[in-house]
Amino acid sequence: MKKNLHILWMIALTLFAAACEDSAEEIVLDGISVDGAATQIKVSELTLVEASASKLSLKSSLVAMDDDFSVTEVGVAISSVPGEPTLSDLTVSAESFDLDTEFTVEFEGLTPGTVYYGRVYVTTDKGTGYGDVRLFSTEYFGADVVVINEGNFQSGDGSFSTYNTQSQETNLSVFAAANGYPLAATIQNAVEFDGMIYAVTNASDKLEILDAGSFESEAYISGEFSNPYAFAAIGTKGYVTNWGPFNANWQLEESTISVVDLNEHKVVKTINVEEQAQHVLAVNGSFYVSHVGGSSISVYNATDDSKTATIATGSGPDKMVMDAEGDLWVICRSGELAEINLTTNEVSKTITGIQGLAWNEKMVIDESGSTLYYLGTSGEDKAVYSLATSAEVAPDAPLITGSNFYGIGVKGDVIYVADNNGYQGNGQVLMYSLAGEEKGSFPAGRGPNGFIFR
Amino acid sequence: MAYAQEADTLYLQAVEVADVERYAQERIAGQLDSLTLEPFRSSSIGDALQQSTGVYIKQYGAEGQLSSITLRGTTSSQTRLSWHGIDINSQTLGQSDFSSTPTFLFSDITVHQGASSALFGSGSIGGTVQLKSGSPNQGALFNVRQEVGSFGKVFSGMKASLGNAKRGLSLAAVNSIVQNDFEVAFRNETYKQNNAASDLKAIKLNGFYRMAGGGRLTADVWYNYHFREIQPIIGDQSGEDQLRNVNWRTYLSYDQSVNSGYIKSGLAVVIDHQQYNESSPTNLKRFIWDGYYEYLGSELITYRLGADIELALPDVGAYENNTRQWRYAPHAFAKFTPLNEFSATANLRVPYQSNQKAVPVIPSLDLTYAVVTNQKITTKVGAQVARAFRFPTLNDLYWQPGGNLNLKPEDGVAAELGLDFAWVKGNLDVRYQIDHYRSWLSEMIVWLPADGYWSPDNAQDVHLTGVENALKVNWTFSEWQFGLSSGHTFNRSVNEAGFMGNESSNGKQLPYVPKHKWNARVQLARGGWSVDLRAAHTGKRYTEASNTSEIDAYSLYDAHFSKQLSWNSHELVVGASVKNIWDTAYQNYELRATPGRNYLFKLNYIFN
Repeated sequence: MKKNLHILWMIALTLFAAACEDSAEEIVLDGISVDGAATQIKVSELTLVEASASKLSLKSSLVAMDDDFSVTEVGVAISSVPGEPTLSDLTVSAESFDLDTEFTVEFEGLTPGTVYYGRVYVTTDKGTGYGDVRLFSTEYFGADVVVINEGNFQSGDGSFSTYNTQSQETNLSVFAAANGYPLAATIQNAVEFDGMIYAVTNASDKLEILDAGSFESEAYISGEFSNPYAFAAIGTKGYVTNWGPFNANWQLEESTISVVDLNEHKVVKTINVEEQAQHVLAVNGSFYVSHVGGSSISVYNATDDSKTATIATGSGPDKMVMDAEGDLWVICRSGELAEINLTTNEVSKTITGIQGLAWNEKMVIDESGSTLYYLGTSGEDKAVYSLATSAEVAPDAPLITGSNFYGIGVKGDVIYVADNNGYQGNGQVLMYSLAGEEKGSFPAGRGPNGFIFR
Repeated sequence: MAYAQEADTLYLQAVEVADVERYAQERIAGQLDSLTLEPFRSSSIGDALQQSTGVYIKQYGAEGQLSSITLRGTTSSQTRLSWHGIDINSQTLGQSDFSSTPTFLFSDITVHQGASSALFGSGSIGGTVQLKSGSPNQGALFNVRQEVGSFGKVFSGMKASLGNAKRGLSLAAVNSIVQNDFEVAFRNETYKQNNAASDLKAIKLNGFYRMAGGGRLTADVWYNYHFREIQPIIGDQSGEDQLRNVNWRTYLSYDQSVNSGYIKSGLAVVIDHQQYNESSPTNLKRFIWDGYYEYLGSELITYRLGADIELALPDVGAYENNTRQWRYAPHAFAKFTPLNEFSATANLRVPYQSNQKAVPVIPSLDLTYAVVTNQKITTKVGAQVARAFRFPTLNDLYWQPGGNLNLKPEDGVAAELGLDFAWVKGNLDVRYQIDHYRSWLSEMIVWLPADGYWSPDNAQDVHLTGVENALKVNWTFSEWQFGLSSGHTFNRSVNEAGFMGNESSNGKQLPYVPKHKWNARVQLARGGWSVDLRAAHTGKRYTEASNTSEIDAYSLYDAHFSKQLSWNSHELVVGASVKNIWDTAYQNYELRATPGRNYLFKLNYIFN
C-alpha cells in the first residue's frame, strides 16, 4: 500500500511537471553579467523520466540560446547532499543538445530510497551556468533482500518476506500484501529472471509467476506439476524439475522435467527422467539437471530439449552453482563436491569429505564467483562452511555454527543464514561477516530456505 | 426437560453400577446430554463439541476433515478419548480424530476438564472425553433417523434394542456421507471445493447376560470406518490425497456384586488400521485387561483398587519388526465423605510403559465443600491438585528414522479452584460454575527437524492459565419449556522455553489455542414444537509458535427447528437446521476452506 502511494505520488509529480513544461528556466553563467533577453540561455525544466532503486533517468532541453555563446557541453549534475550540485558532483552529459530537442541522461549506481538534488548545467566558451535545482528520489524498495519462506507443508503458509539493508526494515508478507490473498503453498525454490520471480511450490503444486518489483502475481500454472522442486530459464523457456509422485513405499520413481513457455504461461512439454530430478541451472544455452536420486547430471539443449550429455558425479548430486571461471560446481549428498568443466562436460576436480547436510543440500557462491558457501553439520550443530574454488581439500572447520540453519545466501560482504526455528514458529535470518562474525538478525516467515538479492 | 425426541430411552440411566465418575470432579460444563447432542445426531462428536462447549476443535476444513481437540489450552494429544475407560486415541499418533466418531452411537458425552491422569491414565492432561452408551433396556425399541443436507450430506442412522432383566441386545448403525462441494472464493475466482468428501460408517452391537449367581457378562463391539478425501489447501484444485481409517473395538466384561462391594474384570481388543493414499498401512492391535474391586460398604468411604495391563502390537512399515509395547498401571481411588458438606477424593496411579526408565507416581487430590446447602441454593467450592502425564506415543518411540527411545513422559502439575452454584425455585433451575486453573507442563514432546528427518524431543515447557465459566438455566412454565446455557473459556497457554536456541517462541501463546471460546444456546419448546438457537465464537488463533501469524476470530450461528408427532408407541420428529446462518466466511485451520450457510432436513422415527 505504501508502495502504491509512492507510485501515485510519482505519477502526480510527473503530470504536474508535464503541465509546467513550457516554463523555461534562465541559465545564469558564472562570472558573466547577463544583460537583457539577448544574452539568455534557457533550458526547460529538468524532469524525471524514470526512477528505480539505483537509477535516475532525467530529461531537459535547450530552449533558447544567445549567439554570443558557444555551447560545448550540456548535462545534469546531481548530489544527495542538499544544496546546489556542481560539476564536481555526479554529472552525466547529454549526447546531443540541439535547440528544442529533448535530451535524456541516466545516472546509475545510486543509493535506493535517496533524494537527489539535480540541475542542468551548460558549459560554454565563457563559463558554466546552471538551471534551477530540482529534487528526485530513487525508488525505495521494500528491500534489497528477498527471503524465500518455504512454509509448513501441512499449512501451505509459504511466503516472501523482505529486508532493507539500509533501513533495516522487514516486511513479512509482501506477496499477500501486494495481491490481497496469500500464496497458499510451500515454496521450494524461487528464481528471479527477466523482471519476474518464478516460485516453484508444492502443496499446492504450481509455478507462481510474480513481478519481481511489486510482488504482484502475474500468472500461475497449476495442475501440471507433481512435487515440483526447482526452476531455471533461458529466453522464453523455463524448466521445472518434478520429483513426481511418491509410490507405496515412499519412493520417487516417476520424476520429470516440465518445459514451460514463459510467454504463454503453459507447460508445453514433459520430459521423463530416470532418476529423481532436483536442481536445474541454465548455462550457455543448456539446462543442467542434477539427479539427486542417482549419481549424474543431465545436460539438455535448450533449443530442442534434447539430452546432449550425462555427467557422472558422486551419489546424490544436489545444488549447483557457476563459478567465475565458467565451471559448474555440484554438492553431492555423498559428501563430495565436484567441479565440472562445461566444455568437456567432465568432472575436473572432486573434493571429498564435505560435511554437508547429506540431504537437501544448500550451496551458494559469492558475487565474485570464487568462494563457495554451503550448509552442513558440525557434531550436533548445523554449520556454514566456506571453500575457495581453488581449494583441493574440504575445509576442516566450519565458518559458523548454530542450530536450525535451513538456507544460505551471500551478498557483498554479508553471509545470510536462514534459521527455521525448528519449524515451530516463524524463522529468522542471521547475518554474518565473511569471517563468520555475527552482525545481527532480522525476522522472517515460516521455514526460510533461501534468498533473492537485488 | 423431558423432550422425547431422542431415542435415549433405549438406554438405562445408570450406565454402570460402579462408575469411575464417582472419583472424578463433578462438572456441568462438560456434560453433553442427549438434549444438547440432539442437533448433532448426524454429526461427529467433534462438531458437537465445537458448537456446544468451550472446547476448541481444530478442524482442517469442512465436515469430516481431521479434527483434533484443544482442552484447557493443551495440545491435541493431551486429551484422552475414552470408551469403557480405554484410551481410544490413535496410539501411533497420540491423538484422536474427533471427526471419525459419530455422535449417534452414544447417549452421552462427558468432557472431564482438567488433569485426570490418576483417574484415567496417560494423556489426560487437558482432560478426558468419555463416550457413553448404556446397556440395552427392557422391552423393544426401534429408531430410524434420516437426514439430508447441503453439499451432499446424507445421513442414515438406525438403532434397535430388545431386552429384559436377564439379557439384552442393542444395535446401532450409522452411514454418514458428505461431499463438501461448496463454493470457495479465492484469488479473484470461485470454484467448487474438490477432494473433500467424507464417508463415515459405524456399527455398534451391545449386549448383556445376567447369570444365575448375579454376575453379569457384557459385550460391546464397535466397528468404525472413516474414508475421507483430504481437503487440500485453499486454491489447490488438484489435490487427490485420501485417508482411510478402520477401527474394531471390542470390550467384554464380567462384573458382580460381592460382599460390601463390587468386582469387575474386562478385556478389550482394539484394532486400528490407517492408510494414506496407497502407502503401506499403519496397523495396530491392542489387548487390554482391566480389573478392580470397589468397596461400597460405608457411607464414610468408598475406594477402588485395580489395575490394567496393555499389550500393543504395531505393524508399521517404519517400525522395526516385532515391535511391541507393554503397559501396566495399578491404581487406587478413594472418596471420603466425613460430613454431608465435605468430601475428599484421592486417586493414585503408578503407570509403567516398556522402555521407560522411570515409573512415575501420579496422584491427585480433590476437595469439595458445600458452603451453603438448603432447599433452594447449593453453593460448593472445590479445589484440586493433580499430577498429569502422557507417555510418548509409538511413533515418538519407534518411527524410523527419528524415533527416540530416550523420551521421557510429558509431565505436569495442575491446580484448580472452582465454585459451583445451584439455585432451584419452583420450575426454575439455575446453575453457574466458574473454575480457575493453572498447569505447569514440562518435557512436552515436540517433533523437530533433524538431519533430513524429524525427531521428537522433550523440548517444551508450557504454563497454562485459564478460567472457565458456565451457566445453565432451565425454566418450565405451563406448556412452555425454556432453556439457556452459555459458556466461556479463557486460556493462556504460554511457551516457556524456545526450541533449539531460537528464542522467538518464548512467552508466546501456543499455536491453535484460542484465548477465548464462547458458546451460547437458547431453546424454547411447546407442544412438540422446538426452537434451538446456538452461537459459538472462536477467538483468534496464532498459526505458529512465534505468534507472528494469526487467523481471525469468527462466530457461527445455527438454528434448529423441530416438531414432534406421537401416536401410541410411535413417534416422529420432523426437523430442519440452518447452519452458519449469516454465511460467515471463516477459517478454522489456516488456508482450509469452510462452507457457508447450509441446511439440514431431518426425519426421526422412534418405536417404543
